[in-house]
Amino acid sequence: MVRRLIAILPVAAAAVPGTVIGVGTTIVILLAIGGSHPMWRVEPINMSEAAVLRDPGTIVRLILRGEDPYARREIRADLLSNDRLELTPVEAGIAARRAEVVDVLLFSARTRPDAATWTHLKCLATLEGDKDVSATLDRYRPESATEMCDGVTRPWK
Amino acid sequence: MDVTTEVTRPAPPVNRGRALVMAFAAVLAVSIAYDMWRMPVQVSDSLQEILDAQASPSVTESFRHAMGSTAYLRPLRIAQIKAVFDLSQGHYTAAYRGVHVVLIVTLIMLFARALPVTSGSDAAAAVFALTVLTGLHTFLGFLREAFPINHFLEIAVFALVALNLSLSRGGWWADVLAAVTLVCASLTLESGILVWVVIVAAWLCGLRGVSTRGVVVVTFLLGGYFFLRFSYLHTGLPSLTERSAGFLFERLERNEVQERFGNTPMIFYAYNIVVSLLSVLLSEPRDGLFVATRAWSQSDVKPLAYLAVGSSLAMTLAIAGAMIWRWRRRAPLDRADRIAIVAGAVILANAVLSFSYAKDDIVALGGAFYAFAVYAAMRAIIEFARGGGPARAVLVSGAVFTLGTAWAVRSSGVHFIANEHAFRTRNDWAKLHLQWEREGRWPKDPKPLAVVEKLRRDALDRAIPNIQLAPEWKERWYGD
Repeated sequence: MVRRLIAILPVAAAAVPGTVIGVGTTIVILLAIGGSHPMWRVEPINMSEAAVLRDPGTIVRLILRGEDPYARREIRADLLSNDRLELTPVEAGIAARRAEVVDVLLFSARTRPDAATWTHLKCLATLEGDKDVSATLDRYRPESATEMCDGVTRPWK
Repeated sequence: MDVTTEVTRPAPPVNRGRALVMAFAAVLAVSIAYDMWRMPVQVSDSLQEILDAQASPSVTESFRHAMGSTAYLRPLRIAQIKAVFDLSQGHYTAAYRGVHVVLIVTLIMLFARALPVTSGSDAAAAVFALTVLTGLHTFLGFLREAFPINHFLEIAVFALVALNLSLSRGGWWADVLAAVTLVCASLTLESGILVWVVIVAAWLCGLRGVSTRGVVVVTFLLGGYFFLRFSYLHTGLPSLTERSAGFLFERLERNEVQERFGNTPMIFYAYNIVVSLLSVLLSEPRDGLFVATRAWSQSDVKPLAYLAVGSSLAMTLAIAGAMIWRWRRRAPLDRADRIAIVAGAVILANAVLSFSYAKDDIVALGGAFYAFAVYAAMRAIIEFARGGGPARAVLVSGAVFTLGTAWAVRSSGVHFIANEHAFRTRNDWAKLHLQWEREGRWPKDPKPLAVVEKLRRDALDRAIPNIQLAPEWKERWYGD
């Protein structure tokens, strides 16, 4: 009995970790065949959430599908703050301090922001104190825009 | 010990252990291939090469044009990209990703095929080795493509073809295939000449599937390669200013490399060789940088660093211990030992070939062969554990199980890394239009524009999970 155990134990010790991986992987493959690969399951996110989550890929895909990058969307709790928020994708990019996301959003949008929208966004960036985002917004400034920020407050904490 | 006595013998009959190992390898291969299929084609280093392939009139012209390069001789690499482009019939993503899938499956199956599995303990050692193969950080170089075709992976496949030929029963066809493999590999990347190292090291170890005549032919071909490169085409070597480089704890820009090592390049080359070797054996440094050591000195070490360096250090020590134990017992060299010796030669030669710059991708082939050394060591360790009393069996088994678990965790991280890479790549495509427009590179000609737009739409339409939504522990244990 002991001799048999001595013979089996080292073999089992070498094989078990890999075998566990093999069995787990087989289950994953079967799930993938059924269309629900656990590691490639995509959680749906809207454009504002994509801006917070540094996901320009989703942003551009949604814009190419015709979605409006200036429309407000709900951002689930705990992504940007503890509470749910309603922000446009550009506002969300400013709140998340993601200059590159704001750049991609404004570049990919079919229309440039109008003067009032731009002023609002610029004020938010100034209030947020992010120079990179502010400089990015300057690239898309309409001629008639101002930087009058009276009454503008950040909708996020 | 006589290393030249193994007579090439018929392959052992198919047994259950071997069948299980091949099945295990197939499961790993399919799961990783699935990840590869989900990835978009990479932007950096890939897109321009695809556009160059489009602009080239033919495969032959691509080959001929690449022969005139100044620092590299890689005509087959360029010709392949062109050939896949032409054969894709507009389905560029499917074609290039398909090649990657085929290569990764071939690599894993050729690796498993080369393992001489004849018993249950062999099968256990093989499962362990496959876990190390896919868990070692250099394996990630096979997944993260830099070019439209992952040539590091391709070279590793060529090297495993050569090893399998050396392990075969031989014949004129094996010699011919060995020669063809060497020519294809060496004209694809410089590290392709490691195919010669595989064949010659195997022959010296008594693995004579490629005959003496075959070895003479491939050696002649290697000489021809050097003549072609240095005497006929005058293709030089990469200069110090070719690219930025990791050195100890910092990344040096190209001018900094020149400033610091312009007068003493041998020191830089020696450093690259040593760190390339250490990277395979210890998982540290990475790309020439002692990242884990730096993180440790800053008290900012992720569990991943402990896992990677700890498991590699323990594994390398285990290999050394197993070698010493086998040597002290004067045990005759078996096939696994001979393959391990070939692996040692390949790892060393791969490190030497990395003299011009240290990068994990370049030593990925050495990493694959490291897993062969693991196989031989694990067989010896099992034998050692069985050869003593219960205490030894329990202690050694506990250590093996712990080590195996660490490597299994590393292996399971491959899928997260693939997801992470796919996410980044898709974002690169999203930012491409903006970047190229500003750089004045966005195509105006409708032909290349159509290719860029097709690849971009393919990438953006891929359903890729956002890694920011992944649990934090994944980044800490698997993060790249």
